[in-house]
Amino acid sequence: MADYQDQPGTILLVDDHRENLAALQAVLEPLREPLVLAESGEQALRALLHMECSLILLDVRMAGMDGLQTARIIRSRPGTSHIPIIFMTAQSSELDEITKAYESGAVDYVVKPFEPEILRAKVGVFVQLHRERVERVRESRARAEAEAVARAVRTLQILSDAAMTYLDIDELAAALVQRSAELFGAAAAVLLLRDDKLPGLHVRARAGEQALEIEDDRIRVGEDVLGEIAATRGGAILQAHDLDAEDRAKAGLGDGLASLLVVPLLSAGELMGLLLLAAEHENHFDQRDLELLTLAADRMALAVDHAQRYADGRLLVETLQLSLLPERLPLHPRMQLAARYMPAGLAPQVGGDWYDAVELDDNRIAVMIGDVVGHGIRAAITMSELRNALRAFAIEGHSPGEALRQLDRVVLATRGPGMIATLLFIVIDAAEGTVTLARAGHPPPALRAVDGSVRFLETARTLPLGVDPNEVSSQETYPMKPGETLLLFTDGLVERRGEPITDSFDRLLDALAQAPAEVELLCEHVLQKTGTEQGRDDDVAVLAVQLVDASVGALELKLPARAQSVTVARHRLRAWLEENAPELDPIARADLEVAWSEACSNVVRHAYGPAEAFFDASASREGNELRMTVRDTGQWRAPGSRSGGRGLPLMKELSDELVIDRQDDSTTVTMVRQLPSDGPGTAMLCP
Amino acid sequence: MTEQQPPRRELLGGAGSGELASVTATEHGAGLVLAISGEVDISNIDSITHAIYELPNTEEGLLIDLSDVSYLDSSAVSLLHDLAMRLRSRAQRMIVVSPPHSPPRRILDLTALYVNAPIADTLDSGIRLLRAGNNAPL
Repeated sequence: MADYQDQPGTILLVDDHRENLAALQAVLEPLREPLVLAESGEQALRALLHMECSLILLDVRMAGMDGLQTARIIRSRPGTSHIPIIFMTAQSSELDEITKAYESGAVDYVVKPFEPEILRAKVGVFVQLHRERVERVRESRARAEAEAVARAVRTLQILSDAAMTYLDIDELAAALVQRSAELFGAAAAVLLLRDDKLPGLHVRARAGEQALEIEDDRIRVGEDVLGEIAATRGGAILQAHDLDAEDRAKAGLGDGLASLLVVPLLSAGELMGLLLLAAEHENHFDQRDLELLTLAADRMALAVDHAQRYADGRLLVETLQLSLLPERLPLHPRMQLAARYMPAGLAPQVGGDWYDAVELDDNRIAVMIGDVVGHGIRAAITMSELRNALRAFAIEGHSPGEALRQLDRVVLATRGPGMIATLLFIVIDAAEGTVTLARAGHPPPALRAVDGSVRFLETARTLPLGVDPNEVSSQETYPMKPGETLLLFTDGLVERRGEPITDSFDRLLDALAQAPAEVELLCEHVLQKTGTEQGRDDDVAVLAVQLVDASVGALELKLPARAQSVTVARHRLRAWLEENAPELDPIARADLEVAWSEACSNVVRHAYGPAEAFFDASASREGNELRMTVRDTGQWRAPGSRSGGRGLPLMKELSDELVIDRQDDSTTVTMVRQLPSDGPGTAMLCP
Repeated sequence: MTEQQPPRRELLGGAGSGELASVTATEHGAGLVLAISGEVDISNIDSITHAIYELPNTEEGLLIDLSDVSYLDSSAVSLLHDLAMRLRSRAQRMIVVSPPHSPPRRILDLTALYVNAPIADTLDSGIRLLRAGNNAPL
């Protein structure tokens, strides 16, 4: 009984006498329908498991399972109940037998030995009926298919429109997630996208009345129920009742959400993100929804890719601007510097704000900030020329007033009138405790005293550079004490449409008065409080300089979790140790610097989010005991590959006592080192 | 014939660059001498690594002169270990120069760099080691 796979018109012939089967075969051959022969009821039932049959010719009296039993089983199975059965009975059959045959599901009967013409005619009618039935099923399927296709096209159209309309990645994400939720009747929807800087997929937009909460708004590809689906790059439908409590939580299925449709966003085979739709009812989504959303997700992925590339283009221009700013500020043991630059609004262009800082000697640094009128590449080039010229004047030892005079001459000689730039040039002398400044049309710097009082350091008001060849820039010198902070800024920080400029200056002073002492945090605070974060028309630069007060008992630092901070922290510790543990020999001091740097480096290596996270580092001395702590608010991990696993052993080796305290929300590394008790000495060489 | 100064290339940093460290490369008969000066930590290890790995690897031996390094930590140690192992796998030699009793030397000793690369006290003895190595294994 070989090959009866899926032949729609197949006729099944069942008789326990081979010669009868052969006779039937001969009679039905002219119909040109495929015939399958079975020699028992059991064989017939088995055959029916594998094929689509149009008609069954069934002998009533068979050894073993007889025809009536066989028919009842055929009728009882959903897959075969619709197949017409013609019974074949002997001439001598009782009426009773024929009745039973009808009861067990026969549609007709023929009496053996049969008339070939009559049998062929009857079989032909049923085959024809079967064909019509198949045709009807096909038609209704086609209709459903057509409706589904129309819905799919509509859905794709609506989502593609959204994909074409928005170029900004956040607007795009919001539109896609909103429309997907509406089209698929979802109670909640979340779109997660990848991020170049961070691992995993991150929630970018949400929609719907219910909340679909993803832990930390992040999915790690390959981890947990959603991460595993993401890793397969295929879609899935999840029912809440199929999941255990933990998976339900991980999948964001809180109370009121019973099913989840998950599709990946793939662009050129790369995983761009994951779209989640949740519904209040079980089985809300079917296979067709999954296929349709998968199709739509392909278009979304393209749009997302496009938007991200656009954003990257803007990033490129911003990178050009940043490349014109100093990559790192001077690390001066007696001065603490921090700066921020924020590009203007949304348009991809280069602004004209810049700043720079140059170390002149062990006691003095020069800081400068300026604004070139206009935006774009030209402004950036001008800015770069001014910066280089000013650097040269500063290193040659010109005073601020003299440097500006020279620069004015250079600008007039090389560019002619018409190129407008403002500038503030300052030299800070930590040994003298003075700040000397000269400015060309630029806002004056603000000074915050140790007691928290704030004021602007004025000089005679002057014109911008390149305006008047006869302009004489004057300079002023003010005292500056340890612990005091000087803030330089560009007018983007204080200019706001429809507001008197004096109000803005007052707001800046207020912000500075209330800002944290640490310069990095101070810059953040000032930007935030002056409303510089949103809706800027102009770019903004700020630069803060603080005279370090090393005589203050303990060293307390709060620094952004980035690599440069490790250097800053080390230099601050060096200066603090010189002041507070002068008896340390160079090797012992270096030991502490390394131990401290390793602890800070470990925080930075595992920092989550480069700009947002901060860490605390402090050092204190209690009698002959030095205590250094580094605390971060992330999960501490053992030093990874970048340190070759050597950071932790070094920290252990270089301190007398090392304690790592891991809490749920923070990790504190404490290192203790005993100083020699009998005055300065070399007992520290090998701990 | 006058003695020629070996050609010296600046790979990273230099006066006025604002870099924490600088790297220069000088050709010697026996190999390439890379001199690092300044401070090496997590903030500049990537650019130093990049500068070194950019060099064409055609020399028989490499000498890394840390005489003018005032600070280094595990980021530098990892680079040196990796470099030494990489060169050894290609039958090239690497020698490190670091003055005894200096803070960097202490860190190199604590992290057992000598397992992967010999450490010489001075540039001269380092270069002698490099020359000797061309004929005899260490």
